[in-house]
Amino acid sequence: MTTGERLFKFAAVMEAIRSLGGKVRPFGRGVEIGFQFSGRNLDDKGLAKVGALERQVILLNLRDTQITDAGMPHLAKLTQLQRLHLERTAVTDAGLAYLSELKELTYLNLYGTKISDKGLRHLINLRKLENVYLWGTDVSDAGCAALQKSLPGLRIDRGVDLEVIAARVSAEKKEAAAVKRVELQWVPAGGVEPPNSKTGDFTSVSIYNQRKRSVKLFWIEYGGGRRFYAEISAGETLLRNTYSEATWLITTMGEVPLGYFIATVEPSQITIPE
Amino acid sequence: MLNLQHSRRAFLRSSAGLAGLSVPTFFSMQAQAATGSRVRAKSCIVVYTWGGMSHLESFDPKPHGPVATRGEFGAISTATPGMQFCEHLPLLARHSEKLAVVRSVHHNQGGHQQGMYISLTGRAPEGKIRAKSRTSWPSMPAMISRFQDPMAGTPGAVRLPYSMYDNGKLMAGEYGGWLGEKYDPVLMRTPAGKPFAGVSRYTDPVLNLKLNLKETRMRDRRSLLERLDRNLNEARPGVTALNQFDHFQKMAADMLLGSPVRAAYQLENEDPRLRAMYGDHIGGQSLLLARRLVEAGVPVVQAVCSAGDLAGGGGDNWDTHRGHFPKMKNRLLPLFDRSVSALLTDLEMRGMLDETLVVLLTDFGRTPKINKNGGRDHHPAVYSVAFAGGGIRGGQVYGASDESGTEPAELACSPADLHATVYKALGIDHHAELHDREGRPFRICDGEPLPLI
Repeated sequence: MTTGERLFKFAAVMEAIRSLGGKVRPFGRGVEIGFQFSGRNLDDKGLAKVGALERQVILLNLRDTQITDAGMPHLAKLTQLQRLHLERTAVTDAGLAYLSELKELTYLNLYGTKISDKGLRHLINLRKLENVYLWGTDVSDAGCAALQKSLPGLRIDRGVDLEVIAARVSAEKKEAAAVKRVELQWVPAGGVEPPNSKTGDFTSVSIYNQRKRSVKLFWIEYGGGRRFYAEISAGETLLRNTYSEATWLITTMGEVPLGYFIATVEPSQITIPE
Repeated sequence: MLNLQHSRRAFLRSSAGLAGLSVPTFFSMQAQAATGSRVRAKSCIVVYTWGGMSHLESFDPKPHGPVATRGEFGAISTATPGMQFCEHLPLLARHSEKLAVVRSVHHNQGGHQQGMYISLTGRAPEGKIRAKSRTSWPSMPAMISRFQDPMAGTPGAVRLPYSMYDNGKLMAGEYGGWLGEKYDPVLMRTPAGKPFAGVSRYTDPVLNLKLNLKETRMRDRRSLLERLDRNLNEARPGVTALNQFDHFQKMAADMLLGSPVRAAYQLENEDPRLRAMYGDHIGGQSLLLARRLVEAGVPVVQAVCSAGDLAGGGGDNWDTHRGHFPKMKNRLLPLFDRSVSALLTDLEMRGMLDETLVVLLTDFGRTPKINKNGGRDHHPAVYSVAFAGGGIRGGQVYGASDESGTEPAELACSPADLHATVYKALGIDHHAELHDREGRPFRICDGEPLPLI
């Protein structure tokens, strides 16, 4: 091929990639191409165009695209590829086989794919691999341990265990519920006007709406006047940060006062009666 | 008012450039390409602890400093030998290998407006500054967006969850300034918690009585919004009037509805366990939204990391002139610790940290001297900021303050130097020259990058 023909072919491929929504930038000795924003409709056929660039592609981002295992053979031609994003695609273990000869790969992102331990076995000869991302995949401890053994320098990131987080949050809620709270006095409307709030210390109040309808919660300002804070549904318990000496007014949804209470310095609780 | 048609055309024009590059981006890329194949940060999340976060109770504790000033808290070791944080940042301590902490930042602007202005724009305010003035300096997020090339239908910069006000006055420094209206970051409410959906009573012009002279006017506006609510809920379920108040004014409808950004905005689509990891408060949910927006293609997001709860409760900001220690211990530090740690964990496990620069900024630090109300006052003479991701080398401390945390002891640097560091990480030439609409040239930054990369 003459230089002119080579340049023409290159320009045609770049144009095709651009029309598929790929963003191309210079990167190192070649280019980086990203389809993750405007190129998410990219499919296996479109991937063939990327494959045509062969050694020029150093970074390729296919996150959220429509590629499948059928498109992966095109990636085998990208022999200089260093960073590959396949997260949140339909690629499976079979597709990873086509990466096994990409010896320059340092970064591989597979989070949110259905790959498993079988797929990891295709990566064991990628000696330059530094980081692999596996959150939300079907890999197991055993599969990861085997990969780690083949590539001791590799950082395998399996992400957070959402169940562990859920358990921690649930324990925090239990702890908060177990806090001993003093019962506040409920002052029904019709008598004394709720006093203005005074400044105090940081504390909390747990407000249980025993009524069959929602209510509104207002804070009485230091200078008088109401400030809307929340709606509390029937049967709901609202845990509210407050300062001690704060006056809280409860009204109907139509803002007719029902009663008020004043916070104390200790964590407190109040029931809005029927 | 932004001419929405014009900006849409401009967006389409800008994505139709040379193989997807706009001209300024292409030339700045030329400068970067020569430096090899280090992957470049493509997005930036600015976490802003508004009000002035005490350096002594965060990244620069002085457990052996003078008794009168070192405060009530101790220091803890982090995952990095020799680097200690305040004892109330245990989760961030585990992330220290990702963080570059700068302990020697300083400026001379003591008020909130001036401190916030210099922190976000890199420039000392000149004369009287007004928020939406077109002669004021653009914020760093606005400037970044000038050099990025997001896909059509995506805002160039987003700020959330509300505008910063001080004592009823809208503050300057977080807008597009002389770059023009097109580069004003788009305001988005964090859609978490009902019925406020991320509105802060302290700052919102509809709900804050200080900003709205008559209570009746506020009542009228609320009932108007309630009526609007009903109409809009029919048109677009789940989006309330309160949370579209500002951003529909600024964005073409098709821009907001451009599907990756819109999908990112729907926080209910996120796994509730992941939402819980960030924390059940406006700061946490704002950082979660920031990650989602970056993943959807927004190049820069500025999130005020405030400690307000989801019902728009007070206690939002870090300006602890009174009762500093209980506020930091019970409210501010735990929320900051949890939500920033969640953001770093989340970015890392998605493999996004290399390409996303996270910057923790604040107005200024707080005085070593503790006042008679048990508080610390404004202190720009030295304070701390931190960077993570985007190619920044973690596990390092740059610069130091003196033994009481009063002034820099070594490697003093300015907010402009921090900005130069951000621009460098993003592949933007910090000496680039731009022109305002009158054709006057401005060099985008007067600082020099710190050697953190």
